[in-house]
Amino acid sequence: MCKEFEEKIIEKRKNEKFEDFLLEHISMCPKCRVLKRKNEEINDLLEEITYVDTSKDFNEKVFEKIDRLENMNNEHITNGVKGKFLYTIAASIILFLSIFLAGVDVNKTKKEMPYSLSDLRHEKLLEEIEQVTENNNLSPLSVYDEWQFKMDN
Amino acid sequence: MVKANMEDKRKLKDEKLMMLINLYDDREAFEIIMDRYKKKILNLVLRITGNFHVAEEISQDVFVSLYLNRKRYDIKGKFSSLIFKIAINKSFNYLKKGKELPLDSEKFKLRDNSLTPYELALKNERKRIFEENLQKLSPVERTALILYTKEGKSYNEIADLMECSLQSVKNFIHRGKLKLIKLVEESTKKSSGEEKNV
Repeated sequence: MCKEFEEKIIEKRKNEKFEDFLLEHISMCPKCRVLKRKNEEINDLLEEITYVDTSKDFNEKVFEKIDRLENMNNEHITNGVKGKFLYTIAASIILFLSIFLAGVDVNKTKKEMPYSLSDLRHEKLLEEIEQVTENNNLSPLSVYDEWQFKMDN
Repeated sequence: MVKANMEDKRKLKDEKLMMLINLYDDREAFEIIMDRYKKKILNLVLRITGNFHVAEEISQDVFVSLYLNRKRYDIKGKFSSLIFKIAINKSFNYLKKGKELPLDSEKFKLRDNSLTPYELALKNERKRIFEENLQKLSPVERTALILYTKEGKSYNEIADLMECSLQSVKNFIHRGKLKLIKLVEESTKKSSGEEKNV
């Protein structure tokens, strides 16, 4: 039964008033009366806690730390920008080089190959037309159209 | 640039000062904020860590991180909650590293000229017992207790600051106070027993 009252007693801060029902219980219950007295003693002690002063150069030390950290941050940012700049230049050089080399390579392969793929297909087509026209005596154009029609389908 | 002088700025609320810091990197405004909160922050961190030098170092870091992150400050939030939150996080991070140092009891001694030397000694002894036992609570219990009794924060505010549920805060405070009552009682008995023996 006292549990509920105990909580209420402990909750009270210094100079906080007790409700009537609580006062009534305390007047009847010796255990809660002792708890109330002890709680008040502890509240007094907690209230009496004296605040220790900071050292005299507290503010200066804070500003020193701030300046030091801000300077470090600024340096870091500058380093970062420098780093980014160098990185961009290096990346651009690599990109240009790779494009240049790729261009050289493509030209080389172009020179080695006699025809492009479309040329090859066209040549094959002409051969086929020749064969058909020779065998059937047809005009090349009609065969070409027929062949093209087949290919399209 | 900000034309207001230091005296005018002193009248401004925390949130407005933070706006000046946010928009104009105003160091004068930041100094006013520091003067307002450094003692509270130092003492909260001191209760969590138990060592003055560590607490001062962490408190300085709290303000440093507040200034360095000034551009991310959100005006909608309550400033005091923000700064307490940073302090609590930094202190708990320190404790997580397992660097808990012995209690700096010298720093908690009273220097009250209105008391007689005997009264002062008696009060200091009572205070020493209390501080030592406060340090025996778990970090979350003593943080919740300090915020509740000394800083006058509500359960909801503490839950927000400590990033835990309302029920957990209630438990921390309830358990912490009961433990503290028991520990102080035991220590006082022990101490008075030793005195009698002497």
